This record gives sequence, C-alpha cells and structure tokens, in this order.
Amino acid sequence: MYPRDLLLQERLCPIMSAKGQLRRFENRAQLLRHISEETGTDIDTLWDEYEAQVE
Amino acid sequence: MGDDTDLDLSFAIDSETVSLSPIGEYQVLDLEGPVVIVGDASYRVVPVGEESDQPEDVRELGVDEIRAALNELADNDDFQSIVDNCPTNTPLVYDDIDYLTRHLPTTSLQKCQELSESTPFDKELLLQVAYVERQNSLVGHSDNVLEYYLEQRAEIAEKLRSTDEIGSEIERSFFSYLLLASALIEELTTETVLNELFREEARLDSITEHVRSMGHAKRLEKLCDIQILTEDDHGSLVEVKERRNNLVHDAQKRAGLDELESRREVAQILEKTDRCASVLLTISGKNIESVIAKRGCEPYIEHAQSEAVADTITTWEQENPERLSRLHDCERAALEEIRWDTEESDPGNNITEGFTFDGFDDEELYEILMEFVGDAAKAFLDRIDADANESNLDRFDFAVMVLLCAGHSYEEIARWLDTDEKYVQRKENVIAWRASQFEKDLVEEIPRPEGPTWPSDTASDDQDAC
Repeated sequence: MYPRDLLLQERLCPIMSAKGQLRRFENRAQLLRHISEETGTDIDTLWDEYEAQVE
Repeated sequence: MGDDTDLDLSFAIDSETVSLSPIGEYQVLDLEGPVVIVGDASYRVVPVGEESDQPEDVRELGVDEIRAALNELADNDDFQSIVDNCPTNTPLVYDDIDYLTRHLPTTSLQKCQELSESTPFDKELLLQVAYVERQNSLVGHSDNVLEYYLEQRAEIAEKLRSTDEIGSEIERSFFSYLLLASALIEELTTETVLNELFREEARLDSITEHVRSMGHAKRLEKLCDIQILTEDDHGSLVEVKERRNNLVHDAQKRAGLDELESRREVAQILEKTDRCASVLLTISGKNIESVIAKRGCEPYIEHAQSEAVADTITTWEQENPERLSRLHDCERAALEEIRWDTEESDPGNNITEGFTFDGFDDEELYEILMEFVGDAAKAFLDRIDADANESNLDRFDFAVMVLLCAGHSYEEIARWLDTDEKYVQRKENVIAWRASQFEKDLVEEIPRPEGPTWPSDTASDDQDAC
C-alpha cells in the first residue's frame, strides 16, 4: 500500500455501512426538503450549512 | 453563389428548455450525512422503501471517505471497469448494495474486493461511489456533447444569417457542426440500443463492446427493427451519416459542402440534422420533460406542480424572503395552491388556481408573481426529471406511461415522442407488467392494454374477407 493510502487509512474511520437507496436530486430545494423531512432538521439550518460548505 | 433569401431558421432542439447537465466537479458535503454535489444535481443515500424505522446509524457513510475515494479512484482502470458494469438505476424497494452485489458480474465484484484490499476503501463504499459515477457519467457525457453541439449550431446559424455567400468560414463552421451532430447522434444511438435491446445485460463490458463494434448503421437498423425509430427518421439519420462520411473522406466535397449551393440549402440541412438529433434525444429519454409537462395526465401534473411550488417556496424563503412575504400578504394569493395551464407556453399568463386576478392593478406585485411562477415552472421540469430518474421504468417508458394515462391516442403519443405508434402499443403492454407502486401512486391508474390492434391494412383485409 502506498504511504499516502496508509495515511488516508489512519485518518478515516471505517464507518461505512451503506444501507439504502442512492437518490439523485435535481436542485437544492429538492435535496434540502428531503433531508429536512427525513431527519427533522430545520431547512434554514440546512440551507446555511449548504452555503457554508459549498465552494 | 450569392443568395439574398431571408433566412428564418427553426430548430427542433430548444436550447432554452433542453436539460443540460454537463459533467461537473464533485463536491462532497456533510448535510446530516454525505451528499455528493455535481453541478446543480446532488446524490444522497435515502432509506429503503417504507423501512424508515431503521436504526439511525444504519446509513452512515463517511464524508471524508467518499471525498477521498472520489479523488483517489478517478483514474483507476479497475474502478472504471466496475463503473461501466454498474446499472444506471436500481429498483426502489431494494437496498443498493444488496442489489449491486447481485447485479454485477463476478469479475467486477472480484475487482471490487481486490481494490478494497489495495486501497483504504471498504468494498461497499467502492460500489456506492461507482454507482454515483455511473449515474453521473450517463447523465453527463452526451449532455456535454450536447452543450458543444448547441454552441456550434448557434455559430453556424449566426454565420448563415450574417452573410450573403457560402465562403470558407461557413464551410468550416458547417463541417464542425456536422461532426458534433454525428457524435451526439451516435452516442445517443448506442445508449438507446443498449437500453432497449440489452437492458440489464448492458452491465457487461462485452455487451457494450459488442454494441460499439456493430457500427452506427447497424445500430440504427436495430432501432428501426424494434420500431422505436420510425422508418422516415431512420432514413434521415442514414442521410446524416452519409453526408458526414462524404465530407470527412473527400476534401473536395468538404470544400464545396457536398454541392450545397445556397444558404437556404445549408439552412435546410441544418434544420434536418437538428431534427435527427432531437429524435435521438427524445427516444433515449434525455429530453422528455417538456412533453410530459405539456401532455401528462392530470394526477401526475397535479403532483409535480404541487412539489414544484413547494420547492420554489423553499428557495424563495432563503433567497427572496421580502418578495415572498409580499406574495404571502396578498389576500388574492394562496401560494401553495398556485397551478397553471401546462399546455400554454407562458405559465404566468395561464394561472388557473391560487391567485385571483379580478381587478388586479399592482404592477410590482404582478411582476413578483410572474417571477415566482416562472421559477415554479422551472422547478416543475426539475421535478419531472427527478421522477423520471426515480421511476422503475426507464425515462422514455416513464414518458410513454404518463401520456398513455392521459388518454391520448397511440398516434398522438408517437408523434409527440418521435417514435412509432407500434412502439407505444408495445410499451403499454410492458408498463402493465413493470409499473411499480411508485408509478401507480403518481398516475393513480396504470393503462390497461385492451382490444387487438391489427395494422390498418390487415384490418381492412379482414373486413373485406367478412
């Protein structure tokens, strides 16, 4: 394994246990409405987080 | 040769409404779990079916892990081979990983395991990322070609309008246009053959290779055989290919544009070629939103408009809060209930519910309303796009279903969807078998194939015999 990969492995937690369906959303409102309905998180909060993270 | 004809070009592909989703850079965000953003679209793992009572952590994915995997695997051949074998859609009721491990050929799964051992990534993550990549490459690739195509079309159209003679500039521009049109058409043809003829077995590299090696003429012939392509359109597509080959292989013909002598003649070929590309965009399911929007059945239009209005309100609450509150404050408006007549081209002038225009004279408020409805109309197309992607039917079959549910005749549907009437009849049978609860919920009642449908000549022969 390359040293870079070893570093990555050390950094990453093996928390992947994907159970579910991958869904494509066509715009931001579709996505955030879905997440809000699914998790109960306020859309305003999600919108701010989206804005803060997107480059 | 001089030509002073006033050129009025009319194209089949509307560059304003065609859905362009060029390949974009990935970004991975953490919004209550990972979300992969690609252009305007985004991907997220959502719960399977009705099992929303699963433990919270069951869908945990590592944001950093996905971000790292996307960066690390982009140029990996083994990973690309897994991507190529992934499906473009999975049934709604199954977990993706469960489904993918059952779907992929053994060699791909072995590659996935080996890749997992030689990289820091779990094999499940690799599959999930490959599936995102597959979906995105399918949506994105020909759309990128489409984008270049539309640019080149605009260029040659402008050159034709602004000059009186066919000079070397027009020749070069037309040749570039024809090359891009051919590339777009060939790519969409391959995709349609794989979808229609091989369906789930298109997952195999060998099948993809087989279809690519068939040659374009053979692929078109197959599409004509199964009647997704009408004979007339097949003939026109063959002409495009022949014209392209003539110009590519013969420098003299290229210089003289294969004996096209007037701007009008070039314009006619331009329009005809564009119509061919438009047919392929439709039958490959890439440009069906506007037809569904205009001709879809009432329950589906109601669902899609209602979701679109809710999406638009969500966006305006963040981006236009003051203007939204002006609409909310207006006693004549019931924003959530706004609907419009989809058969008319301008939704703003065709609001059917949610707003009373009686004696309306506040111009500023009127402009805000028009802008809101304009945004809702765009969100409406986005919602149709999302539903077509999510459906268990492929995108073109989804369009056929929504139009059949509206009670249109086979002939009308075939005309609007650029296909053969026989194909629509056959798809009615297929939909009766394959429609899932998702589609049933959207359209309320699935069309039922009833009564024999003999070709008209045979029918009259039968009558004659009686």
